[in-house]
Amino acid sequence: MAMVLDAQLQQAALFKKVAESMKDLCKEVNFDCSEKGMQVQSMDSSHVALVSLNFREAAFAEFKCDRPVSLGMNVDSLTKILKMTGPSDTLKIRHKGDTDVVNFQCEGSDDRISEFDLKLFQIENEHMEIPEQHYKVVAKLPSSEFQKICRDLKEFGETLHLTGDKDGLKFVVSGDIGSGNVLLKPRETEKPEEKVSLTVHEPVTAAFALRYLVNFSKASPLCGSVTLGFAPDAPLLVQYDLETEDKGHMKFYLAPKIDE
Amino acid sequence: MPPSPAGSQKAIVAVQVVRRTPILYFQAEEILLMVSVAGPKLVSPCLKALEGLQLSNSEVQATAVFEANIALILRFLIDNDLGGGRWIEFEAGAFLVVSETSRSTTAQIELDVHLGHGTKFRALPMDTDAGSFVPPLRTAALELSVDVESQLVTGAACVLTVEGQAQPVARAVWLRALATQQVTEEAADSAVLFLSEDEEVLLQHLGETLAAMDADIILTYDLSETVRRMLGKRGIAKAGSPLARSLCRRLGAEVKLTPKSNEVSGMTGRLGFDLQKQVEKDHRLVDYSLGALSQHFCRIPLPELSAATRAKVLRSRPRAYAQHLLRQAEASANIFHHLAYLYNFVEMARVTGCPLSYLLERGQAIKVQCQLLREARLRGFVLPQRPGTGEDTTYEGATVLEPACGFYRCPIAVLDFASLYPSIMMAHNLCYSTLLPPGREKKPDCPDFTESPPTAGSEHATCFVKAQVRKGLLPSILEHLLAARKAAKAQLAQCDPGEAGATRRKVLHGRQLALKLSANSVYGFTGATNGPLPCLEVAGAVTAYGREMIQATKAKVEQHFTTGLGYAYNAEVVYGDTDSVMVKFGPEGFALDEAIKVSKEASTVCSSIFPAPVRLEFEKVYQPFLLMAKKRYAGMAFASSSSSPELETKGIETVRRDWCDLVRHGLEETLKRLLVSDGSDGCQKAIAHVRDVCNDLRQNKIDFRSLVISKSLGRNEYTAKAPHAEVAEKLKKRDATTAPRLGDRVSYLVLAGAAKAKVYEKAEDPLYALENDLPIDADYYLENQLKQPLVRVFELVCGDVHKAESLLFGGLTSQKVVVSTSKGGMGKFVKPRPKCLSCSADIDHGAVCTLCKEKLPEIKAQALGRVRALAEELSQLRAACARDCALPSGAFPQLPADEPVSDQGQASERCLNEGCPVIFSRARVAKQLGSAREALQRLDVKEA
Repeated sequence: MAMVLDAQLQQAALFKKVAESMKDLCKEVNFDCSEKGMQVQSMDSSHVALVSLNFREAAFAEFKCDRPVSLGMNVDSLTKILKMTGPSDTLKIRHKGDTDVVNFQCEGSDDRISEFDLKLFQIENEHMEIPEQHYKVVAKLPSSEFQKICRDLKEFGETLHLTGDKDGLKFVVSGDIGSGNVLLKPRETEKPEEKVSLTVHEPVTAAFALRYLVNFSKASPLCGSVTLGFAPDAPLLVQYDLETEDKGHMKFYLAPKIDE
Repeated sequence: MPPSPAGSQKAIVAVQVVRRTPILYFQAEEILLMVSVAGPKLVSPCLKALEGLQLSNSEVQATAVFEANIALILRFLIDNDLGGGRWIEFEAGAFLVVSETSRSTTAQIELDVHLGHGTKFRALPMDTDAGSFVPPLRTAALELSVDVESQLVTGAACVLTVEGQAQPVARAVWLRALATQQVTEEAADSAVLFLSEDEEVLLQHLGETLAAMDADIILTYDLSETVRRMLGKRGIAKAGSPLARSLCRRLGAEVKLTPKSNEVSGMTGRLGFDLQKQVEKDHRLVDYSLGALSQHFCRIPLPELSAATRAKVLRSRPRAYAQHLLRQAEASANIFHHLAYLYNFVEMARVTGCPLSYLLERGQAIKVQCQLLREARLRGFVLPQRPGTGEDTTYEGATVLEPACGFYRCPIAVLDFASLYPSIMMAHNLCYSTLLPPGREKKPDCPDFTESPPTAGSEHATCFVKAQVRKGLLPSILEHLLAARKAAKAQLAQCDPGEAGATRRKVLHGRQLALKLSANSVYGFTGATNGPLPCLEVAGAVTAYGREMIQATKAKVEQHFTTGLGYAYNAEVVYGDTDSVMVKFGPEGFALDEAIKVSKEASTVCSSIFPAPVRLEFEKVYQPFLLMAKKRYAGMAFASSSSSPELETKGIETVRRDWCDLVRHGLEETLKRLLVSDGSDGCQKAIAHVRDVCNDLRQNKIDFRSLVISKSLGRNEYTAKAPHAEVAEKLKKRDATTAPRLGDRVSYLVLAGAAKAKVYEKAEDPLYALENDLPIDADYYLENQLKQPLVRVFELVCGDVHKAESLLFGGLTSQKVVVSTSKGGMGKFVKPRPKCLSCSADIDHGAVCTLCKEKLPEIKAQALGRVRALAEELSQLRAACARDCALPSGAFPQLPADEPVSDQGQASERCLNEGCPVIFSRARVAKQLGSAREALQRLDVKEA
């Protein structure tokens, strides 16, 4: 049987981080494979957020895909399999035509090879077109800092009011015990990951559900910095590169919260 | 002490020395003083005075008070041997008809009768034809509607039925509107319409009409709400006003609604019947709305309208609105009639001797107390005034034998004790008056007694004197009740089976039911710690005997039916609860009629070891039988080998309300497949059914309707984090006027939400979810609804839990998953990319991909067929909806003509009926049709 997909990653850890960052949002996703690489596009189960992964062919040590194929996987099962891999293991992902499994093989430096066949799903979903967004505010900040802010503020309320203006980027939350905010001002540092940059075309304030932002920020291990983009009455973009820009990116979109 | 209200200066009318026996504990007759006071309001001051009374003469001491807490009306009925629902015969000359001018009521006849020595009236015996005749009682079914914002009455409808007449004798509608046309001649069969723009005039007319109708029973769906609407903000109708007269027959009385407790007071002479409350007491249903009750009991559809819809209909279609009000009143009347409430309540009043209103407004205890007081009076006993302590002291309840759980393919016989607790009380002479005081049994002069079986934790024996020494009052009452029931059933069997005997059959059926219920509630009366006369020794002895008997039956069956005594197999009791045992008489392959034969023999053998009237009876045989746990089982029940079997379940989710229809219905269907009566193994079919349901769920093929979970909204639950409370809160924010109220059942769906979101965060109003195309949480329904109940069933069938889980749910993950796209959330910001209609591959334009192009004619035919099938299904659903949910215009020419109903449903599927049975299917089919038509367009095929 001909191999439809035969891909090899130098470090299994990257794929593991990708799977982990989707785990709390999607149950089953299609990995759409083509000669360009692997792509995932999926709404979260409540249809409030959208996950868009572009795993470029360049991220792989080897990548061969004879014809486009969609591999439907349960994300939870996928993370379980990838837990078997060590940080410096290599990972092979293979799929034979006309079978209902995808094969994962990881090989460590100690010559131990582990292998797992994951049963595939047949997922019928719509392919989404995301219209080009014109963000009024674009901010780039350290991903760990974004994660901490989201986690801290989630303790106080459900909704985050995000403001971008000439003062900086302001995260505001209010809840039963009171209200608070975090203001980030643009800053230059030696290490590029710790830099905060902000482009404001027009001041914007928008409201988002913190719960999802906390889930998005679990992608922090992917990349040292995160890009946020938002505009009035438009989804928020939270984008992480897959380590470097050329390997691809993980984009999360979140619908704004509209009061009923 | 205040002077007597009767004008006489004497408050104490008489003090007599009487000989009476206190009922509690076996004790001798005592000398008591009977104090008669001038009015009921003097009883309590009199008691207070006696309490502090210190008599210098130590021979007389007020130590105990008897029967001073009995309401005047009961006292009167008991002392004169009268009762609720009974006919009274007056001898000629024993009464005076009160003249028109000096009447105090609006009753049809008012009599003055002298009470006292030689009163010349008596209640007719019930078992005579004259005594059980049901008079032409008048029942007015009343429905009122108010505008939720202004709280003004917008309309009312009333249907008057008279017992004995098949058709309503009057139908009337009131509407706050202006007449646009004068109509002089009304059609003979149409309802009378009264119009006024002034609420006060409207209510005045309503009151006058109701007073003229002079109903015995005011029947409403929700009594306190209806009265509140009638009486308005003040909550009071002045004595003699038309509204007061419409609800009350006493001229000098006002009708009031206590706002906090919602209690209606002052409805003297008429009976206010609250249909909703009564049905909730008697039946376990999912939905108690009037529309649902009408559909459930009478199979007559009746739309349920939201406040907003009502307001709209009143504005644009007044004739339909008037007709709807009338239909609501008719529905109440139909349900009341269908459930034979009139006969059942009149008979209950006759059997227990309570006034009718007591049966509606008070609990079980008053019925038993009333009978006990009568029996006590006859036999010279008195009841102590021992108010219930309300303490948590309990006694050991009934026994439940440890079930031998499993799936039985062999017949399992059910033997049960007929009226177990009443029989025990009769057989062992258990009563307040036969209970020996603690320790008395050890004294040498103690009369002949029996000691009840020991109970755990009791310090001393509970002993009762034998019937030869003194026959207990409770056993006498029970004997009377059971004998009367036997007689009623015998009479029922002799009744004319045709139309002629219909009323008599209903009366007798109601009577035997009342007798059965009364007999069964005697035991509960003795055990109710907050009741009027609790006596846990009696209740404890009853259950102790019951426990002993179940054990004895088990032992007897297992000793007697053995191979050693010549039977083919050794019998085994697999389960027993309170008053029944389930016996396996033979292994798989043991014939059903053999099992029935042996069971009947067993009932005779076992009955012989118990004293009369205790009797073990053969009830039915289950085959196959699934015994899951204590109080949880299901089986195919055969009453005889020739009768067709019926699926029976106990304690299983099919009969519980806090599960969605998917579980209730799915479980029922699964059990039906599993428990097949023809002896074949239904296991495979049942498992296949479960897997089908699970797959449908994951592929979004299940109607929302079957996923709706409902729970009633309790006090303070608005703040608690429960799904139904959260939904109620959301609805309140959206529209406070239509939000669920305390006690309402709130329906919700569990929607897909963020990972780890709590169920209460994912709960949503079903109609809102439908309108906004929100996806459901299939996993929740699988894991939290379907899984547990099904695994519990199949773990016994398959052997263990893991096997069951893998058989039912294992491998489901390799199935297809359909992810729908919704318009809410992110759906607003994205566009689906075109896909090949045949293989779903991404394409840039056109309808199919290059690979599928050759199959184009086939694809076109399929798409056309799909559109046609869906369009047909949708039109059928719409027709069903139009038939059952429509609001037809009534024949009310005085009102402005109704606006024509716009051809609804083209843009979005909506139904004005909140309880619409098909709206969820309609919305789903319409959605599918929409995408099917879109596909057709892309294929460039014309539908027609």
